[in-house]
Amino acid sequence: MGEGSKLRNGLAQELSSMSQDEQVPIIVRYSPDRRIVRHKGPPMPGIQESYNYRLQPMAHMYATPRAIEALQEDDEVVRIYRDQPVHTLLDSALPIIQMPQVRSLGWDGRGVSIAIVDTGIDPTHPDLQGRLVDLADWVGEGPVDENGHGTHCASIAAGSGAKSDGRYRGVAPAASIYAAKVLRRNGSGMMSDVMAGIDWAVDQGVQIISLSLGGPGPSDGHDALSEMCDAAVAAGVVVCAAAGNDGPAGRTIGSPGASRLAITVGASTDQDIVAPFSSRGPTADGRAKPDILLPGHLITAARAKGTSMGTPVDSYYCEASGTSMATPVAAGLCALLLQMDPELTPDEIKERLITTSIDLGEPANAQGRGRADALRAIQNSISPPSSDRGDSQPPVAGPGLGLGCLTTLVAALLQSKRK
Amino acid sequence: MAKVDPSLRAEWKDNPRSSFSLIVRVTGDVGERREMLEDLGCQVKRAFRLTNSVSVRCSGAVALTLTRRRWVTKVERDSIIRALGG
Repeated sequence: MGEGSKLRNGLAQELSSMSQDEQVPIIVRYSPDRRIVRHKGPPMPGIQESYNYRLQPMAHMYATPRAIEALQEDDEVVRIYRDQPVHTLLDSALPIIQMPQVRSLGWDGRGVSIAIVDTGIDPTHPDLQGRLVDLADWVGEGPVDENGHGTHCASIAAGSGAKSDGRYRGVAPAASIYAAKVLRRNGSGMMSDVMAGIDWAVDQGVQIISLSLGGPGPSDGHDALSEMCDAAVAAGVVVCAAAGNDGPAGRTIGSPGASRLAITVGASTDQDIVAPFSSRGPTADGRAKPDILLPGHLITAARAKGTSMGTPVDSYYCEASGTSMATPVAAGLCALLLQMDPELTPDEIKERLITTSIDLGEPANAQGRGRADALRAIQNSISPPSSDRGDSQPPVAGPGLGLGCLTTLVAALLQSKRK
Repeated sequence: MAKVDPSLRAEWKDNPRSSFSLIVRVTGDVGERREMLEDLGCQVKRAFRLTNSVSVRCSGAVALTLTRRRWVTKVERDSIIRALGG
């Protein structure tokens, strides 16, 4: 059996090595207008149905290779996923977006600053040591994170993974971190406090602001917070905003996710599908949102001291889900792009993440243009790694007169052109 | 575009003595407008130069007077925002 376009998660490869009477657990996605989510007609040989999902036109079943071949012939079957154990951690979520390949090129966010505007941060966490530049408190509780949400998000964007031997390393583990506490220890705050945090971050000269927060939707993007995000982008700062967790219903993108200029981030799962909870567009004024998806389901990252947000894994890490977790992945990716080419504008970065994303075959108001991909975003760059741009640049891969030499030459030519 | 959502205006009318947290968009120098808002009876929380706006707390009666000022372009509720993960 060849690699059919409907097969996902390595299913085609697995089927080729299976016996014909062996069954494999699969999840079948049907077309949205299919009312009865199951195989039509009499029971198909080789299929044992186990569960029909209510929120999505999907069904779980066990099937033999021959039955899966027959399912592929069904016009109403859109995708067939291999069911997999759920253990999404930073170390297993990030390979989906090809982060290991990007790391092997040396990109780590060094020299780029990210502001986490959230519940504060645990400045003692080993994964954040040496990179916290400044903390500010806008709610009167002090900047230390007593909720855990801000610390978790900060480590997804820029955690070193020091306490886990690199297992739970973030996307841009050498980036500098600013933390503005705008949400109280109960995880909520006022729009004006979030605006103050953004104002402060812009004033500090940060390059990226990560907003894993929001209000109920829909918003038309003309509310005060969304327009504060637009103003920050106009000032040259990349803003990543969570889409919200009110999916799968439509028109659930609130503020600041409805911002016109921010990068609105929805959440995907380990199965590379839109997370059911991820908020959907359109915005109140009819614009398609989110812009992109990134992994945000069952993500293990840093746990702030003394907190119990999500599901604690051990003293230093906890697991959590939400578009909150997808948003700092986007912020980290932006840091890698800015490290690679500091002259990229916020609009260019947004465009690059959008145009290089992987189409998951979902509506634009669920997936945006698709799930972003770190390697594809990096490779689209005209500025390759170079050893002649100071300490902020990673080492060039490839010895002697190979690719490394060529990329250094191209980088030097581009730099001289800019001058 | 209306300066204020009709339902919020109705709340002010129905509750003139109640206190409201608002974000007021203004034209002109935001520092001067901040003082003018204080003169009108608002308790100013913060001013934002990036968006020429001021967050205030005031009674419904005072809020009704704000929308009559030419330099006030929009008044909206200072809404609750929540963390989106856990």
